[in-house]
Amino acid sequence: MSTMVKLISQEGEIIEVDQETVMLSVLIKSMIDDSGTEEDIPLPNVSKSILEKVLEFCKHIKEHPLQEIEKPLKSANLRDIIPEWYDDFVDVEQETLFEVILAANYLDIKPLLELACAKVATMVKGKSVLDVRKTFNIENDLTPEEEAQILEENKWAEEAIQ
Amino acid sequence: MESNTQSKLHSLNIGSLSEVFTFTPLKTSLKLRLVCRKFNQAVCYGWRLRIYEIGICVEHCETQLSDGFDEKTVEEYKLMSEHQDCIIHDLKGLFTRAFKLNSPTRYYPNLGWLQKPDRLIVLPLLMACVILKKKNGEELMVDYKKEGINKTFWYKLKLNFRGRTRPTKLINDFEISKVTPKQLQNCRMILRQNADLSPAKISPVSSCASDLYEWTKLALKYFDIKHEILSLGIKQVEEKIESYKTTSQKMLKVFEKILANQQFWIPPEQTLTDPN
Repeated sequence: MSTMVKLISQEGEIIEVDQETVMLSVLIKSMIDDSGTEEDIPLPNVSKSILEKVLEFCKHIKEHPLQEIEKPLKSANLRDIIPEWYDDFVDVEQETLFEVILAANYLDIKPLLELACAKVATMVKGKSVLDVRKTFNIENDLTPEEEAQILEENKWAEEAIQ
Repeated sequence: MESNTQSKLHSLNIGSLSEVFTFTPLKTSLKLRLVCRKFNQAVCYGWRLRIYEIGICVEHCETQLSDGFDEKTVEEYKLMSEHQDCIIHDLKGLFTRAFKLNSPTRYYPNLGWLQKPDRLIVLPLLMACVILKKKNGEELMVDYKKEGINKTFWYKLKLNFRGRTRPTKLINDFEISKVTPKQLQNCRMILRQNADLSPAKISPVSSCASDLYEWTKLALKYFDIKHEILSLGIKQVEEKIESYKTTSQKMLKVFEKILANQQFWIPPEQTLTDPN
């Protein structure tokens, strides 16, 4: 029988999960290596709902490995690149997706971070700067001087990468 | 999926956000620098991350090249690559001979005199044209399939080879790596449908057409070898390395220029996974 570990979410709730599943997280793995499986593992930066989603990913990838996603993306439709399950997994509200990214970064789960970031990349691909600002509700905090400088650099850079 | 509520994308740390820009093409990333200050920094950081990742990929491929193939396969690959180089050289030679491009004082084939199309001349010229000129070749194939060989078709075809300048330009502009499977397919179809064609049959009629017939066969041979080479697997790894290096060099070139600007400088001591 596999060893179970107890994870404590941001809300203080305990989620029990088998050790093998959570070893995908470099952070949790190092905590287990240091303190063993007896001690509860506090994850103050991850809410319960997001932690459950992360664990769902960890369980699935164990049985159905996800091949490395090719960079840059060859298609704006993730389904053309990765299995359907993974595409559905990240087909969520923006807020959830960004929380998954934060959790994957915090827990150091590379395949999850890459999957979620690839999804965001499909959301910005082919969009204008204004569209991206609108889609993600981002305020432009660049000064006119900074914008001019980036434009000038980009002009040069575009020639350099021809 | 768009949301009306305040987005948290902007609240992602630069390390996470930069990962997004390792998935976007260089041009898209450049454009997105203009979204906001954080995007600008994340794009630059994402590039740094990608250059680092590419370095690892190149190392991995190089290990694959040195350890993944036995001596016999490597030797076979070397021989086939040399054969391909010879073919490229011979292709230029055959074409030059066909149109006597090396001897300005001597007669070169002026195809204008031939009013009535002879298939022994037309077909080799057509096959060469299909391989040499993608667009014109495709148009000619449409006409050939629809109407076969007639005067109009012959007139259109020979225009491509008229005089000295056109054949010279044709061979100088020719890049074998740009020949598409469709061009090869069309060429092979003509050969299949005209199995009686042979140098012995063509050369008494036209030495130019005979040379072009051999030229076509040689070009096809090049692709047969290419197919064999691909089955060995070495070429793919080499091409991958090449493509990684090209991308990395382009990124470095741009990155260094942008990095020269203090505003976007990222201290090297920060870790690659979490700069915050």
